[in-house]
Amino acid sequence: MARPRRSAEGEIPEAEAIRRAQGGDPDAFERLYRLHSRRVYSVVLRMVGNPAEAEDLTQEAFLQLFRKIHTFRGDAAFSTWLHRLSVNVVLMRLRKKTLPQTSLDEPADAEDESSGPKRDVGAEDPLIEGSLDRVRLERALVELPPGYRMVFLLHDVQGYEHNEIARIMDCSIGNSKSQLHKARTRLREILQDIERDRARQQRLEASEKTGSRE
Amino acid sequence: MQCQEFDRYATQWMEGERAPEAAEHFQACARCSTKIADLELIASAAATLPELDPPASLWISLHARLEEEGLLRTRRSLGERLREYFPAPPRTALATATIGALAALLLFIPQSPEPGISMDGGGSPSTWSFARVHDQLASAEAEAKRDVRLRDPEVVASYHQNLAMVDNLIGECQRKVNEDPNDELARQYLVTAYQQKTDLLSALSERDALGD
Repeated sequence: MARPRRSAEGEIPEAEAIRRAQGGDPDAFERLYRLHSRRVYSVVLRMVGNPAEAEDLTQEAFLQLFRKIHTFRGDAAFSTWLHRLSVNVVLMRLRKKTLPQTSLDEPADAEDESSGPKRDVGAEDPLIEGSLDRVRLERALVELPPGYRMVFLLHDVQGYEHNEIARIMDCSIGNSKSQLHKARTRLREILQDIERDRARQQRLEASEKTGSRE
Repeated sequence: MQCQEFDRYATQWMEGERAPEAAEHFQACARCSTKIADLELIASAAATLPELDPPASLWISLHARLEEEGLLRTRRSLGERLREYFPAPPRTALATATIGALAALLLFIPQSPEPGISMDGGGSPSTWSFARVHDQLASAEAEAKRDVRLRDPEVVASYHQNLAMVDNLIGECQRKVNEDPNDELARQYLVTAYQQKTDLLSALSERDALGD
């Protein structure tokens, strides 16, 4: 359960907490949870978009972590291991919801082209600069395919490197880079669509105002 | 280099690689340079997205699952754990009378509720006890604010931080008990949260008596 935390300098270091948690020390479990729960919950919530489901999946990820913690040998970063568990938990849930799914190491372009936003050929790309804020970005993120979204969240939001993402997602480094680029490109398209809609709406409102004056 | 080719190179470009032919295309092509600017904008906006706080109830339910599965060794007492935050010798100083009364009250709060108990409704013994504890805590806190003079700024900061966390937990548990007065786990956590606050105020008064 939650409890007051000691000041940063008085808190047990992660490696010590891992060692103690392997022996079943309840305080060490809690320490590890406090260290990592925000990052895990943030990724999970942005993946599933539903707080109750995110809570459930975060709990599942930590349960799996604590069940297996005695097997952790420190050959990978603890957070990478934990995120790998979290990613598996989330992707499993999403796969159950949306079958058939695409492997991360398969080219997803064909599926993406069909599911992506439709644009007028030759239409000018609206600028997203000036219209991009965090709320819009969060909204656009929801529309990304799960594989892209996960890589984007891990790299651009959480700050993981491609070699870490490759370990977390069990894919190649090249694949992680390629997925990230596709994710950013798709986000740009989604944001441009939002911008087009906004401009169209403004024009409509302006013409309605003009019409009502006449 | 053509736009399509540059597009395939964009990942490397974004990572700082600058092949001469790509740089030449980038300089000459407004479409590609605008696209790269947008992608960089998206990446930098993403880095500012905040981390999100899980609800306090998440640890409560996770802890319950860990206990159910027998993954936890027996916990040390709350007093022992709280002493880590405010290390002080065993209680040589007397806690205030209010804190003593609180500790006594906490002993008598039923862990299992009567049916239909509400935090705000009157009448039942456990409702009465929770309300009494709440009032006693409020006056103990007021006493501590009035009487205790801590000098070490680190201790003061740590006290405020811990108090805020315990208050949050109490609020969370109270909401849960209000939603479902028969939720035994929530009631136990509420009692424990009250106990934490009592111990915190008690440790504070000891600290004060010992000269910070």
